[in-house]
Amino acid sequence: MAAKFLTIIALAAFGLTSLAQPASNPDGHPTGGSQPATGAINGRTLFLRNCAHCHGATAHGDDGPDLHDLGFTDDWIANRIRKGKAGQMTAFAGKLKLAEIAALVAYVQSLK
Amino acid sequence: MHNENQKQNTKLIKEVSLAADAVNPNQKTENDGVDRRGFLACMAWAGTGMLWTVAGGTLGSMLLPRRAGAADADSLISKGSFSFVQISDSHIGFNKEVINQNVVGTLKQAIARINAMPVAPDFVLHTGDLTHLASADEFDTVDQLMKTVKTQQVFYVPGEHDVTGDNGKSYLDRFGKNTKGQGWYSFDHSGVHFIGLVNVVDIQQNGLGALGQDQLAWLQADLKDRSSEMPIVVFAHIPLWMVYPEWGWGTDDGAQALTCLKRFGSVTVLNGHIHQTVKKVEGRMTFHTAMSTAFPQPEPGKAPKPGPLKVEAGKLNDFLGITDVNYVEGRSTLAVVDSTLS
Repeated sequence: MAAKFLTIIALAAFGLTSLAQPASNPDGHPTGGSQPATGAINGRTLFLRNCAHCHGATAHGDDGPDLHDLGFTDDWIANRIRKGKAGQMTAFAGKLKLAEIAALVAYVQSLK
Repeated sequence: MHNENQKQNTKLIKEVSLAADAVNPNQKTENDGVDRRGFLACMAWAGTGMLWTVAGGTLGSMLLPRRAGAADADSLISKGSFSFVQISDSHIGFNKEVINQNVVGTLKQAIARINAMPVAPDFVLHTGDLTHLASADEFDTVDQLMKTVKTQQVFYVPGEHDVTGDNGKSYLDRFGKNTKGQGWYSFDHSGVHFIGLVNVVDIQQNGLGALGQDQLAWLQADLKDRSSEMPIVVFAHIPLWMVYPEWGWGTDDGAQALTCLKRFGSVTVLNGHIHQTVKKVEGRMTFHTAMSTAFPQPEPGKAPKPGPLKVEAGKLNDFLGITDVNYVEGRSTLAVVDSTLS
């Protein structure tokens, strides 16, 4: 019983930690929010699959700009992801679902 | 940086010339027409255009003449043979002041180079990144420009820039007719089997391309009843082999595709994506990547990032180009010749 109680405390503590700060991958990059559970949308994964070839795997920019400390609102970033920018960035509205865009926004906003 | 690249270009030219000596059909050879020295020794990183000729079991190549109509190129086209041209990474829509603000212009130059060839190629392969942002007007521009190529047909495979925003729907609407799945297909031409693969729709977390199980199963079925003596040409955007995985320059499950091809006597793999010429030979397989018609990228690991490479003013065309491939009946290798736009 004592062991079970300790396990519950440990899980609760893990949950609080997850909410308090973005989870990190082994490479130190944030995962994009508090959704480490299997099946959850992972902003970092989405970023690597869709954005990294222009913004770089570390999001410090390559063909596209550095995404750290952007200083824009969530809505602004989500809109840019959806619509892109003529001549500069692909529009992702035809590919990414709203929840995926939200996860990407969370990831980008976590880049400091 | 430029001097360094010039040295590498010189190195490539030497290596390519070695191979060309061995595959010139006018030359008497007792072997299969292959100069293994030129290819086994060659792992060149450079921005030079290239003409491929394929014949038999190994690969040969020569430097494309700077001016079309030169006798060397003409001599490669003999009775019972054919040639085709590979172009890649036209990135229509790309526009950066210090890199290239006229990618339409450089694609037109590449097309002019093709149209000035002494013998028109039977067809052209475009190995992806037709566009930069996959917008409708970019696709339309590519389509219109490619219609000016003097050839019977243009075959395409998509690059990641062509499919990023919509999983390839716009690309498939325009260029995916008679293809399967995400745009893969095969066809025969004068006894050579050509296979166009798509490895850009499901980019992996590490940046590598992927073919996926559906496409691999199709490939296996496509090859099943073919004679191992039939020359095979595989083309896809991202290199099927691991050129530099640290930058995502390879295909995660590419080895599975190559395993399907192992029993064939002559396999030539043509890719783009890395905007520079790299080639190597492994057994009976020859791997080659083509230059871009839009902008160069750094040599693997020689820059912090793989993005567009700024070159000295007025020297851009030294780093852009096309690839001409020549098949000679009865020979086991294809001759591949790159040429720059300069």
